Amino acid sequence: MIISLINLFAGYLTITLLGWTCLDLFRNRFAHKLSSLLTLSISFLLGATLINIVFTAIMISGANISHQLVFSAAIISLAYFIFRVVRSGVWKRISLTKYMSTLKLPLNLLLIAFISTILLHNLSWPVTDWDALTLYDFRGRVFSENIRIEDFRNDIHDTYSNFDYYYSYPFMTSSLHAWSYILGASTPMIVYFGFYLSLVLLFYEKWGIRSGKPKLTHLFPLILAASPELFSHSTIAYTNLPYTIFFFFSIYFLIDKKNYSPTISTLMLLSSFFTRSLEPFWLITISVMLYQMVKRKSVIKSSVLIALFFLSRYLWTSYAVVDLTNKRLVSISLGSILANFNLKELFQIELFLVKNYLTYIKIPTLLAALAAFLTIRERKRIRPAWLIIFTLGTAILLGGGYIFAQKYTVWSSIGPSAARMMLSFTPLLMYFAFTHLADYLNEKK
Amino acid sequence: MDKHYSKSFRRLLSKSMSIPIRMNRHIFLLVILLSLTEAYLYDGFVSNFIGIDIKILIVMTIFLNWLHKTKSEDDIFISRFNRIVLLPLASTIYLLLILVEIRNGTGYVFSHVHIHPEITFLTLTFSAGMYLSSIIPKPKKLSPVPIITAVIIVYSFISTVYFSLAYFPSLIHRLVGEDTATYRQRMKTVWGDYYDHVVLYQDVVPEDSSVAHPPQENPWQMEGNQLLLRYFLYPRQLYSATNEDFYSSLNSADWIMITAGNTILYPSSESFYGWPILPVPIAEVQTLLPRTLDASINNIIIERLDGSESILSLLEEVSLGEDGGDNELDDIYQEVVIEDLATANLVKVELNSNLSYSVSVVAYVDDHEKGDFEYEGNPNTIKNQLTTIQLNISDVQAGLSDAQSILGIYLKYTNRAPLPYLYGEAIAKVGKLDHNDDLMTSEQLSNLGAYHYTMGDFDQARELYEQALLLKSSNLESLVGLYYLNMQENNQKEARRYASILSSLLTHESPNLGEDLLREMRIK
Repeated sequence: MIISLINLFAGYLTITLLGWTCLDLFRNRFAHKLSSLLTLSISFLLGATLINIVFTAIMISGANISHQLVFSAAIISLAYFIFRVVRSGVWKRISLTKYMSTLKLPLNLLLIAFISTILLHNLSWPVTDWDALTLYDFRGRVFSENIRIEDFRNDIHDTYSNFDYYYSYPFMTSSLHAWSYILGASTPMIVYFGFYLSLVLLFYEKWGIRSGKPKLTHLFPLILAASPELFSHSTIAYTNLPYTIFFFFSIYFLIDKKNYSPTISTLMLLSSFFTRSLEPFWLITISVMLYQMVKRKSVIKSSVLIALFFLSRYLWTSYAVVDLTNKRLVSISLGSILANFNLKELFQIELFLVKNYLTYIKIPTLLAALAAFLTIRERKRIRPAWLIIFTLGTAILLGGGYIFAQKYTVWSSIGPSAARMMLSFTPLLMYFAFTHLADYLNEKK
Repeated sequence: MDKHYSKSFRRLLSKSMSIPIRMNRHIFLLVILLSLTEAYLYDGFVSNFIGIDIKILIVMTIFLNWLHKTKSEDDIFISRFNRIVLLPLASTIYLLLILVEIRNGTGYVFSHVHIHPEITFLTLTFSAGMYLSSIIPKPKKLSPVPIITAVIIVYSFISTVYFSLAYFPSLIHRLVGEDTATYRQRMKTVWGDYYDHVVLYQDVVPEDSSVAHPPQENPWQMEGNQLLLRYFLYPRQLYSATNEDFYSSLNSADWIMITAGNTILYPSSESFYGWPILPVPIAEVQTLLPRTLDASINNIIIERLDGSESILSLLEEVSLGEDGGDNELDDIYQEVVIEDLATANLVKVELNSNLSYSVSVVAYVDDHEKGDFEYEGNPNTIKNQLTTIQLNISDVQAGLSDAQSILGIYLKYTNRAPLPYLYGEAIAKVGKLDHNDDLMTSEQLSNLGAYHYTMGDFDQARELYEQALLLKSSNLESLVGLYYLNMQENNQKEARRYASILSSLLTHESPNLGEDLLREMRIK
């Protein structure tokens, strides 16, 4: 029990408090919506972003991660939060009875069952998954012991792996593992609960049932929370879920009119890059950002933010010298693709990819297609930002998938990894679907 | 357009309403039956059988019931039957089966009652949906598009919840199951026997030492994965020892893994799955499973030179490896008192032992020209089978300067394996065997031979191996060493001879190293 509480404190609460402290210190408008569930989501994600930036900088500079610094940051954030909450009197406005009454609603009970199962599982279950052990958690452990990855350079005596492996992914999840271990956690799995919860809370805030009779739209948070792709990934220490969440929020803060924030979007985009640097989906966020830049005429701010992303990207790739991964992936020249180009094969590969993609996200695609159909049928406009997202997304998935398939003699073997890529689109498709379906259903009421 | 669709849809609805009401009762019973069949057989059976997902059928029936609501006898029957019988029964069965599954682990319910507990959720969903459809008022307007939208949303909801709920029993079992209470048990749940192996390495190998491990190939995809091993064994240094750089890795390492890999997960069609098989000098072995020896002698027969026989009284039963800890490996000697040893020709011992190669008859020799030696008969005991072992005393005497040099006859018991790979899973310290007395045994000579082989001093290795074979013709390490030495010199004939002897001595082993070496020679 005590161990679980320590794990919760180290792997979720301190990260969230750190994020909230940043929000509050920078006088961000989200910090003051304490009753807003979205604040909880942003706080956790920002906390994770901050920890990763600091830890990555420390690792790159060759300095040691000071355990005192980590403890101080955690305790100061906690103290700051208590001080601010007590002083502002926000806590008085939070009606516990109102929250308790929502627990009686069956749909909320089911949602809580999903959330609490992951919470309980991740509070005590150790990191057990293959890649998590060899890379993410291993780096987390050695970071927490102040051992630099560089120290392993002469320790690899293996024909099948080399030192570059430890740089094949940026440090995001490893930094969070290290943070948890330093603060005394026995397992950092709760971090993945934090990512899952961040997403579910946003959907609940938008469509969750608070009182009254249940409506069809109240099923939306549950469809997301129970989505097998997200649910299963939240119990394993892989980078797919954190990447998906960061990527989703990077777009969310650009397309949600009420919560438009290019700064937070850029931070989320940076974090998605620092989780899985090889995914090309940052192109989508940057394109939407450019579109918003033109639309909202905020050229300077957006340009600075885009430049910040490219600078960070450049710094990481220069540092990591990822010849094992990056170079291998981009080594296929346009010439070689054109030389091997075969229309029949292109068709076969694309058909195969589409089948695999759709198998993985059958329900989100079905809902998104229905939403698109209804919107068009009602003679309403789908916002250009969504068109950019889906057009570019499809182009990347089909084009990238084709290039990726060219690397393999038996291209049909890429099916599972192609399908897994679709996890990144699950929340986006659902958000698109639910937003438009909710509009339609509310009008038909 | 919309009006046209609405009209068609309404027509369709009214037509479906005109279907005799008892059909509704049949549909109701059919969906229950199909959902139960799915739970009995497998997820997706209905879809494979009739081409429609069972969840679609469930949602359609629920909506049909909602839109169809009348006060007919049939509807009242379905509503009452569902509310009073099906809903409580389906809820109870679902919860009960899930609780049993959580308590006993994934697959328990199916293996005992042939029902997939997670699929019974479909029957419960159907029943709950039918109940809700009976209490929610009918829509005033029957517009097709909103109804189809609602059907798709409810179908999406049921599908996602159904798939994710299926994870619940295994997730909760992980937290509350007695077999997953500790960190070690949890890791073992995921990693199986591999985790026991790494725990052995962690326990035995000091942190400032180094370990040589097999290459990352089938069947050693896990034991040979250095990245994975590093997670568990860091800060110990790791050396991957492929066949090509085996000795450069071995000479850098203090310890070497002995492992059979995982032939179930990573079947190896052609390669031999014991490791290591190249000559290695081993000073100490810690095994994963205790090697407790229990041997009992049935008969000891002394054959005299004149052809007469005498039977000795039975010796005490011997146990070895029990008191000194799980992994204690040792040899003990039991004297066989033979009167008038000079006239003895052959000692035959009939015995039963729980370990192969564990008992042999040895002659302790103090020859003034050759020194102190131990001549050893073939320890060809077969695990848990009545076997006869023997030592030809006349042969021993023939090689000595004086017949009186034989000081005594002993039964030698050992729980060591004659070749490293026969331990299955173990970790061994690389190095020469310690021996403080002057007595030279065949095992010490072959170990020294392996040491010289490792150092690249092949002539010395050959000499020592051959000496070891003189003291014990069935010294397996020497046979392996001589096989490789002859292969190096491209002396195929001799190499084949050693491999054949090895093969015949390992007849009862699977895998048989001798057979594999012969097979490789045939391929080459």
